[in-house]
Amino acid sequence: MKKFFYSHLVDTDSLTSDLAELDLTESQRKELMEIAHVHTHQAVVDAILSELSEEDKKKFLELLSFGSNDEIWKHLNERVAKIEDKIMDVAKKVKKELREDTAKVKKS
Amino acid sequence: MIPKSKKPDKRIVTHYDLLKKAWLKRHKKAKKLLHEKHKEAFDYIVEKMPAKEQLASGAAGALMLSSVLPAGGSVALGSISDKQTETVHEVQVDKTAEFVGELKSTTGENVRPLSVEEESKISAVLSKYFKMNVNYQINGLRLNRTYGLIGAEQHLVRYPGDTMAGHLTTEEANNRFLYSSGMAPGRGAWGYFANSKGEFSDRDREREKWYIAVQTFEAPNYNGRLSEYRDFFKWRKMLVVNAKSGQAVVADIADAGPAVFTGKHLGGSPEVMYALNLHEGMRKGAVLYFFIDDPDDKIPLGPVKPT
Repeated sequence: MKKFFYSHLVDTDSLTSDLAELDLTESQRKELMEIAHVHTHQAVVDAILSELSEEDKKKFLELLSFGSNDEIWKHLNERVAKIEDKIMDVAKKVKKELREDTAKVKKS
Repeated sequence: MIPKSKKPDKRIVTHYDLLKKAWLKRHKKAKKLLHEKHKEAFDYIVEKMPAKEQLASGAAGALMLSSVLPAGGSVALGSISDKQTETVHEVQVDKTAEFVGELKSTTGENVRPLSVEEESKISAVLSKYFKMNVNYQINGLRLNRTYGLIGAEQHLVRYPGDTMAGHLTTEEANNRFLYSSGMAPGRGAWGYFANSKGEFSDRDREREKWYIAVQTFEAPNYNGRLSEYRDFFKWRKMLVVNAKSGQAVVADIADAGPAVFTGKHLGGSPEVMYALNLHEGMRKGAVLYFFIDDPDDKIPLGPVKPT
């Protein structure tokens, strides 16, 4: 899986455990985890962009494409208070939704 | 002799099917909202780096790929006009059957990566039936695979201000599938097809009409040969063949995608999907896709038949 600048803040172990309880092949499990990662990434980026001005959004997307993790964190920390908490909150929310879906599928 | 009745094809719905469907539904909804909420910023980054393939492998690229999901949303298209049977895309029974038989003897039934030997053999078969120079590689440049699943893409914006209202001819607009596919929010890998409506030419029209999106970013040693690959892929003609029916299209590369996790390997414009007869149901299917060596640009884009 691709590592993003915030990956150390997001724990997907419980999702991995949930998927292990379903009847999946290894490639299916990997594919589902990739969807989960991309979906989470999208939610995190949305949460971050929602905290930034239009100009700062553009700069952030530039850094996301071409910048280093340090540059991204510098950009965010100078503009958004407690950005790490916000990233963790949204990631938890997304994970909760994905786990609920998984639980429903398991019951079906 | 009375033929035995066939049992209906009951596909077992697995945990994987259910969860993937549920998660992709969430993802699609969130992606739409994300692009709507931050449109100006996304337009900016696409404007700044119109070669979308350059973004594709990065953290922003995961947000930019247009073909994460099947285009159009609903796949319930059972009521498509009967006009399909009147089009030029009918299966040519004689040659097509022979052609498909030759293909199947090499590819088998299931989509899979082909060996170089198999790719060479199929290059020869395609060249023979379509009377053009078809190959899996040109000067050592190639895609990650040549046999894969194609999914439906949306129409691409051809010039600033292009909308669905003026995108299709009257006849095309009457085709429910072509019209309902809609327009992708971003631009193709190479930006606009023309800088303005005034500069828009028939050649640009054909390029958008018959475009495909391929996983350029997954090409072997892509990062090591980036500029070489970019020039190579831009508008590169490819022969795309429905592996089951033999229906074929000369298409051009105009976009990068789909994302690897979709399970699809390339995407086709609505017109390409229609010509390949892959526009119904799940709007995807197995295709062979090989480069066409056409240095003088003499081979027209569009549907072709094996002869």
